[in-house]
Parts: sequence; structure tokens; C-alpha cells
Amino acid sequence: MRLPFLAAALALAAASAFGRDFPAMPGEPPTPERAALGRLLFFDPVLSRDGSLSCAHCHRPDRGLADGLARARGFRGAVLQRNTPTLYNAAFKARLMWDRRASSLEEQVLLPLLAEDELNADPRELLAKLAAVPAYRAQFAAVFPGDANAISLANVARSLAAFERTLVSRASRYDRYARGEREALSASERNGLTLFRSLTTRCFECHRLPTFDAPLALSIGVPSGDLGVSAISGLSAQRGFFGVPTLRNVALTAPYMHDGSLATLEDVVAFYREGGGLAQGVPAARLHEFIRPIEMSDAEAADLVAFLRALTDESARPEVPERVPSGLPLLAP
Amino acid sequence: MTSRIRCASLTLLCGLFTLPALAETIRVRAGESIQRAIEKAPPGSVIEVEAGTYHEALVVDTAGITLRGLVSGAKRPVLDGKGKLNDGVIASGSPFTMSGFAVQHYKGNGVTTQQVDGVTLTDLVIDDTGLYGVYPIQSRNIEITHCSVTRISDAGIYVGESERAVVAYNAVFGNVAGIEIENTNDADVHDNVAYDNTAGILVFVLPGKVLKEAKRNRVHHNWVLHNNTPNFGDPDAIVGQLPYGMGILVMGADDTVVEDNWVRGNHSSGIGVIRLAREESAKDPELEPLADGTRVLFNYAVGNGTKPHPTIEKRYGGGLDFAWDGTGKGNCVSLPDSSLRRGVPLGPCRNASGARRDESAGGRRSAAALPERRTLAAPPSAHHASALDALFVASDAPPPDLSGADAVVHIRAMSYQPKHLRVKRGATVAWVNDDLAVHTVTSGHERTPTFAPLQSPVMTRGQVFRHAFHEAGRFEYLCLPHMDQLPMREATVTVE
Repeated sequence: MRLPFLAAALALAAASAFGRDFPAMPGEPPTPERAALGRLLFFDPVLSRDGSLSCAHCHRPDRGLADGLARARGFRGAVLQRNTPTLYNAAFKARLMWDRRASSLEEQVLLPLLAEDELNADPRELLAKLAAVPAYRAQFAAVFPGDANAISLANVARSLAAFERTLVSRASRYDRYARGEREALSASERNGLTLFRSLTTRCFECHRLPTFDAPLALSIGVPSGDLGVSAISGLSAQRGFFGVPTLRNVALTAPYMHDGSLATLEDVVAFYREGGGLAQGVPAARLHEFIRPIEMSDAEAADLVAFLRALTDESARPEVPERVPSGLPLLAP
Repeated sequence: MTSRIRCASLTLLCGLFTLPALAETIRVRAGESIQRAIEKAPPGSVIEVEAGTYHEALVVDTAGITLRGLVSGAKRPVLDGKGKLNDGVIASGSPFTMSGFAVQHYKGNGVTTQQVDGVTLTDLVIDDTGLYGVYPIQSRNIEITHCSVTRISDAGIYVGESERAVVAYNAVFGNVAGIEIENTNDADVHDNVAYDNTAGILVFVLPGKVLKEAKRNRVHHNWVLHNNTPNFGDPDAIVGQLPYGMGILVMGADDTVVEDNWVRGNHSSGIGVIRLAREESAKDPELEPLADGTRVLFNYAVGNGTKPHPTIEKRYGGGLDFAWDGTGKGNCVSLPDSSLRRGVPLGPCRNASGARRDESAGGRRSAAALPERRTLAAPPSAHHASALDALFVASDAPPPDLSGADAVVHIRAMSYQPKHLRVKRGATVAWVNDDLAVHTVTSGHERTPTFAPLQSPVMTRGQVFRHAFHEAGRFEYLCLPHMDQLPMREATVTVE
């Protein structure tokens, strides 16, 4: 007799999850062995041409898997074009990089690895260096059994991607609130969440719950000469368009925007309040139509920032290994 | 077997969740806080709100909440933002139900549901709530019925990036866009009255959205009348750029059916089928910007285009009842001969009646609670007289509550009965709709509505509208959807 009630309760509980569950993670699910190998590679400067840089150089565990710089520093101190994005939840993105040119993690990891102004690896040289390290020989063979050519660029990419797929952030105080734990957010943070979902701000339209990003390219009008997506798509209408970054762990990853031009979350909120690019003289026709001045009190702006700070969850923060198989020195933090 | 299932369910239930608290019915009285009630309500609860004014912005993040305004005659609870609060209601719990409220004077929006599965919004009276009146976004299985939405600076009812929506029996007037179906699939928009907006009903694909398409939407049996209000929206927004005088516009959407609508007196364009402009589609190469497979069937689109906006004048050489811009595949149109067509000539819908039957039987409507939809056997222009019998059907429903009325006007078989009524000062008159068609009681002279003092909601069958006349005089009124028919206009109440 109680079955209908139970079924209804179950249905209700399931229905309430709509929009709060992360999408399925695309690509191969990470095996622990592959992720462990990926972690070693991630921290190992052997990946760079001169043994001076690793992935962790820019994606620092103590900086929200970003680097705290406006624009990244690459090979021999080269100042790169753009701000380093966090790796938290990168695994959920259908397209990666600010200009969205990569469509899988495996594809993406090769871009900084081989870019001349980043790790600048020479593929053949890199594979030879890895093969010369007995620990890597053993691990690649164990992780990719039956692969006669276990130490390959593809397997390096797979391992790094598997590691990145462990960098999941979805246990913030916001997530506890979303599961019904009301007191997980303070009154100010809850008010910030309400503002985030208000039609006065429209933050939620592009930074969609629960990933707080969206598979979209658009322009909010941060002034720069950067062509963004249009350099990839060839469409001049997409000039200054960029992918929508996640806001997960955003409090850890200042400064902000593709060029790191905004130092704090307060600056970001102020930028949007003033009308984004409109206030900087970018014509409305070049901007997403939701970009316009936002009428908001200072107290509301503070609440919005407070909410953004409640999106922090570093439970998947990777441990820095004590040493890496190549024996090269790890970077000073 | 049953007990084994039960054990399994219990284990699952206890293992995954703490056993949910039982749903409750919570009563909120005037002067109390609705939000406080929402916060203590277990999932599945009903919150009943008594008439009164509530200066609150509501957030519903709990599953299965019903907000039920207790309506008694003209009295109902009013959510009033007083021009200070941002949004009337933000709901994210699934499902979500709301009825019987007035929502007014918010800066951002009236009622929005975000990522909700199962949205039921009914009998909401929404006025001056910023960008949108009702805005389900990224939601699915939506019903928006019997709502009235006015003075909205973008779209009165806006369904965005959603799936499966029924938008029916609503009155939208004095907005920039009356109803907008945008990047949404399988919306069924019928029996709405859209008048005095800048544009009546829009089915759009726009760039910069995650959902890149608008497919299989149906717009039928609506009244789309004199939508000639100058655009007062944000000039930088796409809707803010619409010319005034637009009836129904299909832009970039696919497999849209526009059927059996009355489209009259829109000064620029009655029905249009166009592509998304190139400068917009260039921003989003993943989007297909042409309107394909549009079927425009049996619409009574006449008398539009008499005072076109310069944009329409320039593009099409004058105002029009129907225009196609010549883009897209598989579009067709069947119209009365008297309809004025412009743009690129578009061929008739082949096998139209057969197709129409199939589409009408499409069965996508989830709205079991909605009244049976009236389907006229032929275009309304030619067949009103013979259709009258079909409009009035004896009902088994309990008789409507007419208590407290000093006089009753029945709206029956497409006429006010009696059409002319005399009452004493102070009398309360009740109108009751006996037809399957929807009607209104709206102040106005001949064919021009003035909306005061009589302004009923869109009344469905059995619905009663009351008005107390405290001043002497002659009060003329009309039915918005049917004012073209003499029995449904120039009706009077004379107060002695």
C-alpha cells in the first residue's frame, strides 16, 4: 500500500536533482593507474624542452590550478597572450582553451606541451627522454599493457587527461545548499545566489548551474586586441569572443578575464555593473545582448562576491609529489 | 513480489536519502512572510497564501512546492516589488506550481523557473515586472495558462531554451513582445489573446544560446490583434529592435505550424516567416539561421499592414498580411484570398487538411487539466454561423458560483445574453462564460478597447467575472478575441 507513496517520494527526490547534477564527463573514464601516471607527468619538468617547466608551473595546486598572474609565463619567461584558466572541472568542458579550439582534454594537453612559447617540447626528444627513465618505462608498460609502443605522445596525453579528470570540484558550500542544506550558505551568500539568478544581472544565463559555465562563445567586451574565437573560426563577427570560463573555485584564481586585466572579484562585478564593454566603448552589436549596465547597490555587489567565494572546493587538490621519476627538481612554489 | 519491491525501495530510500519529511499544507496570512513558509516547507508542500500585499522576492529551491494564492472574487495575494525588488519569484525546485497571485512592480522579472522539470503556472496576473513577466528558462514540461501579462519591456511570456511547453488561454497586452518562444522545442501556443503589444507572438532562434534550435512549435487558435505599441524595449536587445505592428513572426525556427489564428489590425505585418539576420547568425556558426518547414495554415490574417513601420515599408514595399523573405526550405502558406501578401511568393500547403488533422492529433500536450480545445472545421472567416453550435455545448460541470450578483450576463454561443443590461447604482454584475471558446469583458467603444473600468481576464468555460458599478452611466464593452463579430461588441451596462 505504501508503494505509491514511496515511488512518489523517490520520483520527487530524483526530479529535484534536475539541473543540479553535473553532466556526464566526456571521454574515457580515468583509471587510478592512468591518473597516477598523469599526475607524475603533470608535475615533471621533463615535459619541457629544457627541463625547466611542468604543467604545474602554470596550473599550481596552491593557486586554484591557475597561476595568479595576469598573463601566463612560458618558455624562458615568455609572457603569454592569455590568463591561465583553472583545471578544476576542465574535464566537463566540451571545448577547451579561451578560444575553444580544443575539443577534448587529450587534444588540449598537447597544445601547451608543444607550443614554442610554453613547454616547447620536441615530441621525439620528449619520448626518448621518458624512455630513458626506468620508472616511466615500467609505469607506461603497466598502464598501457599490450601497447608495444607504450611511451607515445598519445599515451602521454591520455595519462595527463586521466589525471585532469580527477580534478573535480563539486563539493562547495553552494553544492551543500543545492542539496537542501540551507544553512551551508550565509544570508549574504544566499542573497548573492539570488542576485546571480536574477534577471537584473543574468549571471546564470552563461555561468549555468551547476558547472557555472556554458559551451558558448561570446563577447562581454573586455577591451584587448585579442581576436579570440574569430582567429580559430575565421568569422569576423566572433572577434573578441571567448569561451565562458567556470566560476568554480573562482575565488582562488585571480586575476580575471582572458587577459587577467581585472585584479579582484570586486573588479569583475564592477565591470559588469558598468555595462561591460559598453562602458569601454565597445559597440553593442559586438557584445552579447545581455551585456548592459546593471542597476545594483553596493551591498548587493558585495553579496554577489560573497556568493562567488562560496563556490570554492579544493577537495580534489592534487598532492605535489615529493620527487618525480626524471629526478629533475620540482619548481619552487 | 510486491513486498520485495517495497523492501528494495525502502533500502534505496534510506540508503540514499534521509527519509524526506512529509509534505505539508502551510497557510500564510497577510502580514506574514511567504519566503519564511517556503524555507520551512518540506518537499512537496503546498503553501496557501491569503489575499494581501506581500513585499517580497521569493526563491523556491525546494522540490515539488506549490504556491497557491487564495483567490476570492477580485481579492488575491499580490507580490509587489514596489519598483525596488529585482524578481518576484525565482524557482529551481522541480516540479514547481504557482497559481492565483498578482505579481507587480519588480525591476528584473516576474516569475522565472530555472532548470525546472514540471512547471505549472496558472491564473497569474502580472504587471510591470521588468524584462519578462513569466520566464521559464532551461526548463521542460511547462504549462502556462490563464495568465494575464502586461507592461513588460521585453517579452510578457518568454519560454527560453526549454522543451515541451503549453502556453494557452493567456492574455498578453501592452508588452514589447506578447509571447516569445525562443530556442525551444515542442511548444504548443494556443488560445491566447495577444493585443496592443509591439509584436504579438514570436517563434525565434537567436544566437549565443546553448540550445541552437527551435523546432516543432505550434501557434494556433490565438487572437493576435492590433499589436501596434511603439517599441519601448532596450534598443540594444534583439526584441528591442522589433518594428511595431507585428502579429506573428517566425524567425529561424524549423517545422513551425501557424494555424487557425485570427491576426488582425497589426499595422506592419500579420504573419511573417524570415531568417535570422546575417549579422546575428554570424556570431554563432553552430546555429542554422533559416526558417524551414513552416506551415502557415487557415489563418484569418486580414486587415494588417495598413500603417507599416518604416522598416517593413522599406523591406517589403508596404504593410502586409503575410510575408516570406524567400529563405529556407519546405515553407508553405494557405491564406484567405483577401490577404495581402508581400515578399517572395510562397506556395500553398499541399494536402493541408490531411496534414492538419495529423497535427491536431499530435498528442504532445501534457495538459490534462486544460479544457477541451475547440477546433473549427474550417477557416473562421467563412464559417462562424455554422460553428456556433460547436461552441456552446451543454456541460456536466457544476454550475458556476454566481452568489452575490445582482444581475448575470451569460456569454453563450458567441454572444452576450443579454447584450444590454440595466441595473441600479451599486449593483454587482456577474458575467459567466458558458462557451468552449474563451471570452473577455473589456471596456471599449465599437472595436476599440479602452480597458477601463471593465477588464476581465481571459475567461475560460465556467469562469465568472464580477464588477460592482458604483457610478451611474452607460458602460460599453466588447470581447477582445471576438470584437469583429457584432454580437460580441457594443454590449452595454446602463447604471441608473
